[in-house]
Amino acid sequence: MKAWQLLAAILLALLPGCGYVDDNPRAVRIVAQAYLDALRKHDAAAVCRVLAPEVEAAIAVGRTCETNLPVHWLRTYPALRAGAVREVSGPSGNPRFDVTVVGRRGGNLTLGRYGSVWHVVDSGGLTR
Amino acid sequence: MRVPSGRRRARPRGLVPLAVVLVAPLVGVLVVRAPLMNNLAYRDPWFYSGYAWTLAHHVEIFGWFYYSVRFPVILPIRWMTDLFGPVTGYIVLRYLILVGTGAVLFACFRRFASVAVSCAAVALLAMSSFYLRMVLWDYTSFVAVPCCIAGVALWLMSSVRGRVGWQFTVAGALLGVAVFANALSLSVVAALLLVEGLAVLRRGLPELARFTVRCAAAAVGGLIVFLGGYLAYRAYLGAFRLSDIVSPSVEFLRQNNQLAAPLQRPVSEFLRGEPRVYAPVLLSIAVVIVLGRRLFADDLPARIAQFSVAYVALLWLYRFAVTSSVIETWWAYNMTAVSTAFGLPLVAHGLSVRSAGRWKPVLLAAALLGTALTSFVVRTADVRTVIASNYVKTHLWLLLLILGAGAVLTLALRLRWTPARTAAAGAFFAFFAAVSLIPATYIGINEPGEFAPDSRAEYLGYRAAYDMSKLLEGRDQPSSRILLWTTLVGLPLIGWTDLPHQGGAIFSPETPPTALNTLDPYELSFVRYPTTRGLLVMSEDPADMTRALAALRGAHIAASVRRRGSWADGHLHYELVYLASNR
Repeated sequence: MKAWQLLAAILLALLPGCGYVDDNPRAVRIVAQAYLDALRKHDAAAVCRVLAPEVEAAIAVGRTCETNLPVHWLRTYPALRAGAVREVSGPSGNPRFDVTVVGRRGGNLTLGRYGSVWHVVDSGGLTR
Repeated sequence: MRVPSGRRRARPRGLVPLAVVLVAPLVGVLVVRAPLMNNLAYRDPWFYSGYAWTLAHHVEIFGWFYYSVRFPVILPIRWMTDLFGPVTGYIVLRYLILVGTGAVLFACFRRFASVAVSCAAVALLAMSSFYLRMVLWDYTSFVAVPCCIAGVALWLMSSVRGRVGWQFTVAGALLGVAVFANALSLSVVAALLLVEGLAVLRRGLPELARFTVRCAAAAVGGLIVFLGGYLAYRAYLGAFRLSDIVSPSVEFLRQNNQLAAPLQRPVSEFLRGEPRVYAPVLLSIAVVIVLGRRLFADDLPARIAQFSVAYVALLWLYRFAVTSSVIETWWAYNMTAVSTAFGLPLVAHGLSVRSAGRWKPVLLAAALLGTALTSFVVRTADVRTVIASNYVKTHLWLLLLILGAGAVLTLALRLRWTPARTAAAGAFFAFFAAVSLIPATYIGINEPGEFAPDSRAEYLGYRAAYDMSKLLEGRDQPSSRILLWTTLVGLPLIGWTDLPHQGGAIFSPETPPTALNTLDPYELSFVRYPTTRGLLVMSEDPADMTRALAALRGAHIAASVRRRGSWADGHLHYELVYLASNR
């Protein structure tokens, strides 16, 4: 009986894990905020840097992302803040997070992990 | 008090096999001159080392890829490293695996063979170059192959006795460990079930019921392993979904054809250029020839022989039926070690049974000496072996001559005159060892048996990789990345411990830098990435440290060195550089 109790105690100890905290939502928020800041400054290089490879390639058709980007962005952007981060379903091996944009009604940003780095997959209507 | 005579005899009988099982791995490594570590020339083993050493870090940074879910590979490395440190843990783990597999193989052969033959089985396994190479690195095979051998042995030992109990749960657990470690182990399970299925057909309906119960018991064993792995991962990672560790493997299996296709080579290419692939085929033919009609009996030696032959046949069939590269890639084809572990001692046993009493030990000695001496000579000859192998690969007539000689030797195992048969046995085992050691042509390192050429570099690299991983653990977080900047030559291949999917470095894997004196736009974009906090600069050239800092200054990026030093006895220099936030 004691052996079973010991086993149960070990299993219970295993279940919660050892103080592991997922830092990915924080990383997502940092990248989202960098994206919002770059949009406000109309800093094409900084925007392109954080875009997902396929999004960057779609914008760069014929030239470079930095050159073509001004066609896609709005004339001015207010100071926006990355808010709540929520995991959403994504393609296999490519997790996705949605980030609410504080101070703006409407679409959220969607970010995906490529390799080990988070990139903006969907601007939520912030670019055309 | 008088000790019963039977008991007096039993003692040394038990001690000798124990000594053989314990010492055989050491003798095997010495005879084959096998380096204990063989990771440096390959990328994949490092992924598992990396996941094992810093599991939470890797899963958090790189996510659930199929490398990460192979818990039977990752957990033992982790536990042994925690207990003994990286290098000693690695060696102790290999020793335990080699001893454990040898012990199970001994028990299996002891059911029908003499102590001497059973000990020979252990020794032949310990000297098998295919087997040793698969165990002596951190790739999945170091778990998959031994567990397949032990699982198959345990299953067959119990099934021929008509049992249905816990043995199959243990066998299922061992095979489950192998499958969760490497999905190619499913081919072993398929061969086992094929052989067992045929036996069921012969034995009739009651056996079908027993077979069903055995499969269910084995499935329970597999499930226990899976749940055990899940709980152990939870201890390191906290709560996560079961699907997180299932779906990457399912996806991997689904994409198997796509993944294997680029590795495929034309059939003529590997038939002519990879003589090593003939060794297990020739052994299978030898098993058939030596056992003769006994191959179709319904007992343990026959069942083992059927499995041994069926597995090699199945692997070849698989190569041609499905898009795969199991013959041309040596690390996949070395899975035949599961077959040869049984095949070689079966040939020795079959020949021994047919020999007169005084010839039995001579025959076993011939088999063991043939294997040992050839392995030692071929490995010692090293460069000359490589030159000779290359000559064989480029001269078809020579290859055909060698294969012809192998066929003659195999047929000679049927000779009636015992001295001639004994000589043929010695020559056959020597031939098998020599052909097995021929270097692989395709994605090989041009070394006999594909063993690493420089043992010292392996130890240094392994220890340095561990130190590097531990330096990054805790500092490298998803929101504050420490990315690698290194030249991909020599020891820095250990950088792969932090590079599953090329995710931990600033440079493009297509254009790795040869010196760290400049940052191209691709590298700069990673340096300026909002989540990048610092760089771990590594190079064998100490001047690269100064050059790297100059390159950062040249790109107007303020940086400060937080830590500098060297690993690998001063061969690998590093600097942990933190970057200014306004870059």
